[in-house]
Amino acid sequence: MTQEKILLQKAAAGDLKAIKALAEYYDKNSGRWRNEPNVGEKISAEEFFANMDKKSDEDFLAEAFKWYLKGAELGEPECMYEVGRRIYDAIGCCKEEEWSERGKKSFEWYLKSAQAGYVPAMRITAYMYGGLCVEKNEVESFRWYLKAAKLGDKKSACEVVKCYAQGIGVEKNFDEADNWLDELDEEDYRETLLELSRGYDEDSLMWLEWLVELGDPVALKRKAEAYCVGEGIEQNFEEALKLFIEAGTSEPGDYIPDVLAEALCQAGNLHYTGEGTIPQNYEQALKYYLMATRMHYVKAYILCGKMYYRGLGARKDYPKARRKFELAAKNRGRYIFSRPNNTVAVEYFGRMSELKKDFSKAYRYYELAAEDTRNQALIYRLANDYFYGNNVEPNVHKALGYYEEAGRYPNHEYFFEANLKLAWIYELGEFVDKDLAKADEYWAKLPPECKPARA
Amino acid sequence: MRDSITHWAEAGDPNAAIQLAEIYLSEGKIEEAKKFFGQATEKNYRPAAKKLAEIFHKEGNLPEAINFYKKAVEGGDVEAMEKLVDLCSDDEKILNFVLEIIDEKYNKIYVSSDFFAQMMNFGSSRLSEFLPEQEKAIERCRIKNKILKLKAKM
Repeated sequence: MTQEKILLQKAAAGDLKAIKALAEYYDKNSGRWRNEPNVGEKISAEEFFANMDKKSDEDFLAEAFKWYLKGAELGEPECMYEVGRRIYDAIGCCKEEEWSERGKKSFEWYLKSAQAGYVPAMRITAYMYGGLCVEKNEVESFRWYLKAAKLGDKKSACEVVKCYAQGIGVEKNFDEADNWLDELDEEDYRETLLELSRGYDEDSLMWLEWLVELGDPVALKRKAEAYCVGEGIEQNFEEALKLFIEAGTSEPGDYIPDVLAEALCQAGNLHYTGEGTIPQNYEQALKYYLMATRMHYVKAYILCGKMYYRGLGARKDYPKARRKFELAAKNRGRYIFSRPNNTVAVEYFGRMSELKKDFSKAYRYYELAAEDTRNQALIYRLANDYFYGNNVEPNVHKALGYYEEAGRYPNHEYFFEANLKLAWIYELGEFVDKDLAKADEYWAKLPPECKPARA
Repeated sequence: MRDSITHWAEAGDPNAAIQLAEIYLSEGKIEEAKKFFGQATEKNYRPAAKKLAEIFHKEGNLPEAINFYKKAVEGGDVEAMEKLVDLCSDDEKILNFVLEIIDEKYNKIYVSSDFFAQMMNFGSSRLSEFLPEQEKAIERCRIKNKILKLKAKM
């Protein structure tokens, strides 16, 4: 007899253990978990992403839900939690229902599970009492977090600290917050304090100070930012500079080095812009930008490249600038699935080729950089160059595409200029078929005085 | 192409007027260049004002240069801000004018925790990303500090 049949027999007889095991069996075989390797098993990234496209078996998921529901109705707390979770995410049930409706239903199951003593359900109940799909009730939210924390749930303990520290659902009590902080491990302790220190009010800065004393690089950087902004603390760029340098040269610990490198870039920016009583000093700025490049920080490569390109803080040095831009262009940063965050570097590549009168190369780089639609000035420039044939063969089709992009949204830098040009192109014809109706669409985006009188 | 550009510029297209002015400028025909840059500036076509200011600056006609740099600054041109500050380093009224324009913009380059504001103004809130708008904000901060230091010496 198969495992499924044995479990079915027992479950049908109302055996709670079997009901749960059967639900888990259907869930595991639905394919929903196929991306998760078993303990000790390794799968390649290719396999992982190939599996992502495979759909899970809805019949199995529906069966899993049916048995979890049966277990929940018989009072099994973990099954109640699973039912709540599946209703919320519409896994094997409730596909047609609105999210808010599902949220309300799932809350009922989470609450039942919490009342039956299941700790993860307590945490979610507390979270939802924060105002997710149910009416906000901070007192109840705190009560459930505290209950879960007392039963040993670390994440709930973090929330209890926040509630006591900020007076959410309970009277503000720093001693209690402090007591609960002692319960946390190092990572949760740091994360909780960082959460508490967001903002520039007195309390936030007090919690920030705790971390600053521990030499936490994020806290050091955040305090430096507070000094720069001058909110809740008197503006003091010299102090900010010291803290940015301290943050940038400290041990990263569990943080990614980007945080440290960014702090060094900010130290460089303080020298570059000459904030407060800090004298403007390009050499010092370049020094800190270069220190940040040692952590392979894309922004730092670009900042250094610009300094060499313009001859600031060092003599003008195109090969060095080129090398920095190249490193920025090749380094996609840590976010491997996002678009490369280096199109400014690519544009500078283009500018350097243009200086050498290598226009075909320059425009290849420009076009590549213009794929990032945030480079609006470059897009508008390419539109003009292709329209008039400046340095390149005229190409009205390409020019129109770039003008369209530059004029797409009102917040685009060249929205006015690009739409005005498009309106004139269709108004006068010559390079495209004259189309007054289309011209009117563009005139409509512009102030009425821009439109010429028609014969 | 030149005939077409001339025709378009004369019909009133400010973008063509700039192009024609650039051609005249490259041929050394300064008066014609000024005429067409001026035509585009009148139609609030921002790139023209700075060009016109630069010609007057080169000619030593400082009142006109200042006048057109101011127009370019109003359009947010960072290079024009710097040139205007250098030209009028002892003119408090003009320094205040540039300062006001700078303060209207988003210049929070040191607050990386302000995710939404940075997303809206710089196009990204990601730490390692560096975009043209951020580059401009850094330059504006530098010019602002330059102005503040000049004013402190007055």
